[in-house]
Amino acid sequence: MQPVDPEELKQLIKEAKEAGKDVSELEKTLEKTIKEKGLAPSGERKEKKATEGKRVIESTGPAREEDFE
Amino acid sequence: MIEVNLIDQAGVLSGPEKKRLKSFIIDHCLCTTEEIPWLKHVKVRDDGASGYSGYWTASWTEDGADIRDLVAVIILNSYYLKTVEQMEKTLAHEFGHHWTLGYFMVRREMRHFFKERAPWLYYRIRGIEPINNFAGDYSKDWYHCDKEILAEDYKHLFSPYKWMHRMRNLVGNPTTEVMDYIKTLGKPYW
Repeated sequence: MQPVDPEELKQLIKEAKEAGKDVSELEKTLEKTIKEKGLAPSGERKEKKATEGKRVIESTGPAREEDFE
Repeated sequence: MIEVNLIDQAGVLSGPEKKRLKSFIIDHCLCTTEEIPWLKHVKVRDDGASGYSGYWTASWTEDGADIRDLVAVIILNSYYLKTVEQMEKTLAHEFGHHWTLGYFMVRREMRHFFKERAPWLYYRIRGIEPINNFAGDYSKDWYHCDKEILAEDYKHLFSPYKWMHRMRNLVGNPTTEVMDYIKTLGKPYW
């Protein structure tokens, strides 16, 4: 996982601006992120019984079955 | 021909950008014909202000000691990543997870990524001390998670995005010993 903390977000905004991209929404997110001190990263694991054994999903971010579709 | 399957679900990439991102791993990063097929696809998706620009996720079947049907996916969050260079940089880090965690799993060195620390040899050659300041999970934050340091090491050592190690102020840049260690994880058995 790559967390987007305020420092990282400032850098992403700077690069996107230089490339001529619209960053207005990201700038609003930056204000909010600074206020909330960012979101804490967490890995996730899910297990489901399978015909033989169990099916496991382990993720450095959210563990979602739909990612594999 | 071996290739990476790229899905632009967000619809943000032009034809040339899609071609560039699709060939990035094979043309510019350390990879082999063993771990590339484990990667089902790289998905560019708008996950909103989720706090992450990308992640690696894997699925497999455990039957006793047997592990089979390993499939992995990389998600790139186009909400934060506005340029193809930014997507490549995140992809290099996430492919670092694919290389290191994928081989830890297949070579039976690890089964629960976040319950177990990275092997002690890695701690020793990486010089990450005191050991108790670091963890196998995110309990001491992202910067102190050994799997994340490994992924950044991969990005620094084996992709064009060198000198951008996000833990460099904490643990320094990796040495050539670490380079050999990471490369050896994917050493073929044959």
